[in-house]
Amino acid sequence: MNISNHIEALLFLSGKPLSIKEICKILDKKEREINEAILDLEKELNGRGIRLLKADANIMLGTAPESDEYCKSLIKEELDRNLGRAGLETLAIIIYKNEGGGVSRNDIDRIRGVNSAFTLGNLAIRGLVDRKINPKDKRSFVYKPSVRLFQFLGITKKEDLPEFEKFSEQIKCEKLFTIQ
Amino acid sequence: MYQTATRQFEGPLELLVDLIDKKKLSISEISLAEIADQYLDYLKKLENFPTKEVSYFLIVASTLVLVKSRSLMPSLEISEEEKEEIDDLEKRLKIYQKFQNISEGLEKIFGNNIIFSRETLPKMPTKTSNIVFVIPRDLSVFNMNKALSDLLNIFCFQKTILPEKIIERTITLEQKIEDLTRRLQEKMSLCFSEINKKQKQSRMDIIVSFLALLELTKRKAIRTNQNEIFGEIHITQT
Repeated sequence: MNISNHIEALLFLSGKPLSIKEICKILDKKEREINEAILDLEKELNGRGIRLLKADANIMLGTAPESDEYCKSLIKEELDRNLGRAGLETLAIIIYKNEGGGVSRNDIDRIRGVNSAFTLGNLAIRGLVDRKINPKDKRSFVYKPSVRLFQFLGITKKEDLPEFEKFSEQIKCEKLFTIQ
Repeated sequence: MYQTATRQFEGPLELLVDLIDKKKLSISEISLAEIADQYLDYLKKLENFPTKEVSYFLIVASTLVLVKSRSLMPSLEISEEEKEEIDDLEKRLKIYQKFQNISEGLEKIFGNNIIFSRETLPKMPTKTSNIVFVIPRDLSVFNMNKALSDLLNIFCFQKTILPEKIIERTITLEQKIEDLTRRLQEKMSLCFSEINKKQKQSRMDIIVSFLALLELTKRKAIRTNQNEIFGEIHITQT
């Protein structure tokens, strides 16, 4: 069996997101090897009923977004789709501004021109964003898109978002953080 | 007159983008000058002004007034700093508008084609099962009562026990003064060490006794005499 088969087994067993670091430790392989194996697994699963999700440094197995209708009828889910303008804007910033290090509340507040603490709290409760301590400033937090967010958006990686490359390129060009 | 906005705006950028969009303008200094009046109008009409966000709205308002003045008086000279302020606002609006567009796209796809995971499954009831309230096995009047009294104990503990201890230890100055006066009426003279000998006296008792001694001396009710430093204090009636 190759590495990607083992990863598949681990993901199936866990049923929840695993970090790439964890997988490296369990399989005792270098991160580069694991990342290659993940790409292989992703290709193998394409066109199947199960897909590989990758949000930031976490991966998980999930059902194919195309099976959504049938899965929904098996699971009676109270789907509260309404996120509100503030929630959607905040999510957009967290997805498109994240270049691996997460997005700080300061950055979100500055872009939206209002205090986003309440909105961020709501998103965190719904599990749509992951909160981590800001490595640059231990007194504050940074926010990253969660695997659950990708599940609800029906995407397996952020590049699946409509016009992801175009938008993120534009955002970079705007030189966001030259403000103030 | 101007159209009144019916929507509640969370922040100044949201309001500005909405006003500019309604006029089908693109973000520029010219369009900002055009909507400045409407922006101020909105603020004036706002009944429940969001006090928390008030400063955000006002900072932007001041920049808009500047933009408007410049459009009316092209000869108006503005400082480098003011020019930067206007440019900043324009830039921020453009960025904000971009994210708003993206968020509209996200709204369209959110929850449409959900990818389910095995983790999602056990948390959610399936269609065939009914939601029922299962009474825990250890639920009894006794347990409920105990839980409540435990809870009350947590809250009452600090409130009652702590002050009791303080009251126990406190001897008021008035009590000591009375005590000292009474003793002096029985005996003509006393030593300070005698006062503290009787019972097991705490440091606090001795301090209060000494304060009582000082107070009575001040009132000229007693006469005190000490022959050497740290020596015995002799007390006599005046």
